[in-house]
Amino acid sequence: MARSKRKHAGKAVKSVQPMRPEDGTALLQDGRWRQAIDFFKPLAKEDAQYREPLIKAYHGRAQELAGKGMFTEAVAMLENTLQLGGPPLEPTLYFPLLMQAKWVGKGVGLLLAEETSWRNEFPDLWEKGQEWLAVLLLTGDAEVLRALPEKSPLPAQRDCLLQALTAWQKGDDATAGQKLREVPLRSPFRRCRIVLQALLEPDAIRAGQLLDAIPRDSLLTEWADVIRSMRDDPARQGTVLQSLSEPGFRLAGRLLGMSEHHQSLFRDIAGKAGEPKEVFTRILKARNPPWSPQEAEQVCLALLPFHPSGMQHHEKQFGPLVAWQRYRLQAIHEERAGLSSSAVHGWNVCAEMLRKDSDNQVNRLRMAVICRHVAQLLRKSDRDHIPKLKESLDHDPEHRETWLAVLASHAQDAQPTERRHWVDRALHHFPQDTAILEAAMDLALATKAFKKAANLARKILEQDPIHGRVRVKMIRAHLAHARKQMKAGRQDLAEKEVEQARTMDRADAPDATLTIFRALLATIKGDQVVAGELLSATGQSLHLPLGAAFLAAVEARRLHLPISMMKNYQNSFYELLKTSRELNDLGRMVEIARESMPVTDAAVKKVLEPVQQELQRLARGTCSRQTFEMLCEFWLENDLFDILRIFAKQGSRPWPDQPVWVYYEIYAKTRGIGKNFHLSDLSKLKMALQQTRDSNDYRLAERIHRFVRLLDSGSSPFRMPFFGDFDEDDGDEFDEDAFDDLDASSLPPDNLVFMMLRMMLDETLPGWRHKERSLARNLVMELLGKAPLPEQDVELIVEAFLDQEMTKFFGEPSRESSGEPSGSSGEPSRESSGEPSAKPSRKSPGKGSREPSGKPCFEDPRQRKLDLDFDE
Amino acid sequence: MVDPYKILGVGVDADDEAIRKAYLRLVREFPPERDSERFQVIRRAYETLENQRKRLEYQLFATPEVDVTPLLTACLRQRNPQRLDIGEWLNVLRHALKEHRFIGGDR
Repeated sequence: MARSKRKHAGKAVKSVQPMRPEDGTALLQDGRWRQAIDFFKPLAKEDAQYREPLIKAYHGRAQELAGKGMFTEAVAMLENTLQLGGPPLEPTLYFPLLMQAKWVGKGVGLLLAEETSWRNEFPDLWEKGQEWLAVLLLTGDAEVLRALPEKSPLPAQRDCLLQALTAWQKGDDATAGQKLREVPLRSPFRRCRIVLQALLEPDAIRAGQLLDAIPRDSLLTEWADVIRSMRDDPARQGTVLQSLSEPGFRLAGRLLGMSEHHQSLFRDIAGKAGEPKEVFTRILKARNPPWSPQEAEQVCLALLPFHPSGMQHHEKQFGPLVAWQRYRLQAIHEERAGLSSSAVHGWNVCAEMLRKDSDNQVNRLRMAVICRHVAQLLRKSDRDHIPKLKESLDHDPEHRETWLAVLASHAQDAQPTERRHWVDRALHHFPQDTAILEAAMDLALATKAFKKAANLARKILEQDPIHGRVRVKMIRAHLAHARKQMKAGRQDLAEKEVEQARTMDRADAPDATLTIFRALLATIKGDQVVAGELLSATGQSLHLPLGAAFLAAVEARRLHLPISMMKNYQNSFYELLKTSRELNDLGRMVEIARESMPVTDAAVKKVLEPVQQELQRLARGTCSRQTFEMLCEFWLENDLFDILRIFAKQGSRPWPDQPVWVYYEIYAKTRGIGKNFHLSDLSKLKMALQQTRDSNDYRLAERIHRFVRLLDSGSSPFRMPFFGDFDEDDGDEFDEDAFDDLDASSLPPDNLVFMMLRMMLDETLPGWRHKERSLARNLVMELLGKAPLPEQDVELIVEAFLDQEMTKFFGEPSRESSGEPSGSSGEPSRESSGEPSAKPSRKSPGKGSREPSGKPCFEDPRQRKLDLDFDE
Repeated sequence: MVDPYKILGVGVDADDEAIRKAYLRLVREFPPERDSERFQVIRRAYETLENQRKRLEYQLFATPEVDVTPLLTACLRQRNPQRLDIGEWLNVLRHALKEHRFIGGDR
C-alpha cells in the first residue's frame, strides 16, 4: 500500500515537473539512493547514457541496505547492475552479502569458482570464506553440500573432524588425534583442526598458543574460549564464561561439570552484574549457594553504596555492620547523590566512630584520610577546609602534602603566631624537606628575621644548589635588610648585607635589583663611575635601559636617598621615558618591575606620578592587548588612578566594547572605593558584569562582581558619608552617627580598614573638618587593634600619614607601653604581628632596627625632612 | 572504575612490596611502547594502591564496579568435568553463524 502510494506520488511529481539530469546528479551527490534509482530508472530505459548513474545508485542503495541488515534486498540491488550491463560485481561486497543473506549455496559456488584468483587478489576474503564454508559444512548445511562439486574432498575432511570429536568424547584421544591429522593443513577446516588440537593437547601452554592463532572475529572464537576456559584457573574461568553466548556457556558449563543449579546461578548473577540491587537480591535469595557466607558478605558490602536500602537485609543476613562502616556507606551514598552537607556530616560521624578505637594504627590513618576527604568536600563547596586538614595531621603527622597545604593557607597571614606554630610543627616532622624549609624561610622573611631566613636558605641550597626561587628570595631578603640598615643610617651594615646577597647571585644572570642596589651604594659613596657602569650593565642584562632606570628611581625612593640623588635618578628615568617611542618598552619595564619588587610599592607611585604626561603619550602607541591589560593592572595595583583612567579610555579604541575597560575606568574614577560614584556607573558596571559572564571570563566577572557589591551594598556604613549622593558642600549636615553606629568588631577585615584609612587621608577630600578626622581617627585606632593589616599596607598608611603631617598620630605612646592592654579585644600587639609600631623594640639596642627610645625609625627627623622636602 | 586490585592481580591485603612487584611485572609485560593504553591503566591502578594511605582512601571512598567474580568462581568450584557429544559443540557454531557478521564480527 505504502509502495503504491509512493509510486503514485512519484508519477504526480513527474507530471508536474520536467526531469533535469542535474537533479539526478544532485540526488547521487547527496546519497539519496532510492530517489536516484526512481529518477534514473525511466531515463535509462530510454537513453543508455543514464545506465551508469543508475548503476551507481544501485550500488549506493545496496550498501545502504546492507548497513540496515537487509542483506537479501542488498544482493538484489547489486544484481540489478548486472542486468544493466554494469561491470562484474565487486567480490568484497557481493560475496559477504550473499553469505549474510543466507544464499550460501550461491556464495559457496562463487567461492569455489574463484578460489585461485581470490586467494591472490583478496586473501582476507578468501580466508574468511573458507572458514564460513567449513563451519557451514560442519553444521550440515544441505545447500552448501549441494553446491560442492561431486569429487570435492571437503565432505570427507568434515567427517574426519566429526569423528575426531566423537572419539574424544569417548575418551579415545589417540584416534581423535589421528583423525585430525587426516585433515590437510591447507583445508578450509584448518582452523577447526587447530581448535580441536588444542582440546587434545595435554600441555596447557601449547594449547594456549594454538588457541591464540584463532582471530577474535572468527566463527570459531567461542569454541576457542570454551576450550581456554577449561584450562584456566577458576577465577579466570569465571571471567571467560561471562563473555560467552548462551550455547557457548552451556557447552563450557557442562564440560566443566557445573550442576544445572550452579549454571543457573552463574548466568543469573553474571547477567545482572550491572544492576546492584538485582545482584544483591539474588545473592541473598540464592538457595543452597555454592559460595561461602564470607564471600557473599564481601560482595554485598561492596554493593551497599549503590543499594543503601539493602543495609537492613544485609545486617539481618550477615549480622550488624561495624558502626563506622554503617556511616561510611551512608556518607558514600549521600556523596553520590550530591548531598555535600549530609556527606560531610556522615564522614565526620564515621571518623568519630573510628576514634573509639584510635589505638589501632590503621584506624588512625582512616581518620586522617577521612578528614582530608572532608576537607576536599568543604573546599569544593567554598567552605573553610583548613581546620579539617589540621585535624588530619593529628592522626597522620607524616602526610607531607597536608603540611604544605596548611602552611600555604597561612602564607598570607598577617598574624605570625599561628603561622609559626604550624611551621615549627611541620619542621619537627620534616626537618630536611626543602618545601617546608622554604615555608619556614618565608615566615622568617615576613617577620623580618633575616638571619634566620638566611640560615634556612643555606640549608635548602645545601640540598638543592640550583633552587632558583630560594636564591632570589634570599637576595631579596638581604636587600630588604640592607634597606632597613640604610634607613637607619647604618651604611656599613647595609654594605655587608649587599655583599652577602652577592654571594647568592648567579654570575651568568645577575639579579637586577641587587646590581641597582650596588649602584646606589656607589652613588652614596660618590663613586659615580662604578654606579654608571653598574646601571649600564643592568640595562644591558635587562635589554632595556629604561627598565634599569625605573628600578633605580624606585629603589632610590625606597632608600630615602638624599634629595639630589633621588632627583638625579628620577631625571634619568624621565629622560629615557621621554625618548621612548614604544608602548612595548613600557610593558617590558612594568614586567621587570613586577618581577623585581613587591606587587604594590608606594615608591612606584611617587616615581610615576610626575611623568603622567609621558605615560599618556605612550598610551597612544600600539602593543598586544595582553601587555596593555598588564599595564592597566600595574596602574591599578599602585593606585595610579589618573593613568589608569587614561589607559582604560585608550584601550577601548583598538579593542572596543570590552567590559574590562568599563571596569578599569570606573575603578579609576572612583579611586577603587566608590568615591564620586554615580548610579550610572553602577548600571554600566552591571552591564559589563553580564557581558563578562556571557563570555565566560569568570576571573574578571568575579572582580567586577566584588566591585559592584562594594558600590551596591546599601548596608555599608560607608555609603552615606562617602558614596554618590554625598554632597561635600553639605558639611554641616554630616552624619556623625554613621561612625558612632559602626561596630568595628563586625567589619570585614583588612581591605575595609585600609580602604577607610585611605578615604580618611585622601587629599581629594579636603572638606574634612577636624571633627570628622578626629572621629575617624579614633575608629581607625580601634580597628587597627582588631584587624591586622598586611605589612605593605601598613607601610603605605604610614607613608600616607607622613605625607599628611599626621605623625603625632603614631607618636603617641601605645596602650601597651603605658600599661594598658593593646586593643579592646585583647588581641596581640602590632609588634607581635610583625608590623611597625610606636612601641619600644624588644630587641637589644644596636641589634634591632628600632630606636631604644621607642620612637619608630621613620620618625628620624632627617629622613622625614628629606621626604617632605622632596615632595614639596 | 575498574578495580585496581584486579588490574594488578593482587589481593586486597597485599602490602606495598607485593603491589610494587605486581606492577613491575605487568610493566615488563606491557611496556608503554608496546601498549601505551594498557600501560596507563596499569600505572593508574598502581598509583591508586601504591601505599597504605592510598589503599585506605580507595577502600573508604572508591565505588568501583562491583566484582561478582568471586561468586561466579564459587559456582565453578564443585564440578564434575565431562566430555560432551558433538551436538553441543555444533550448537555453538550454529549460534555463531546466526549472530556473526561476515565482516565485523558479532552483531
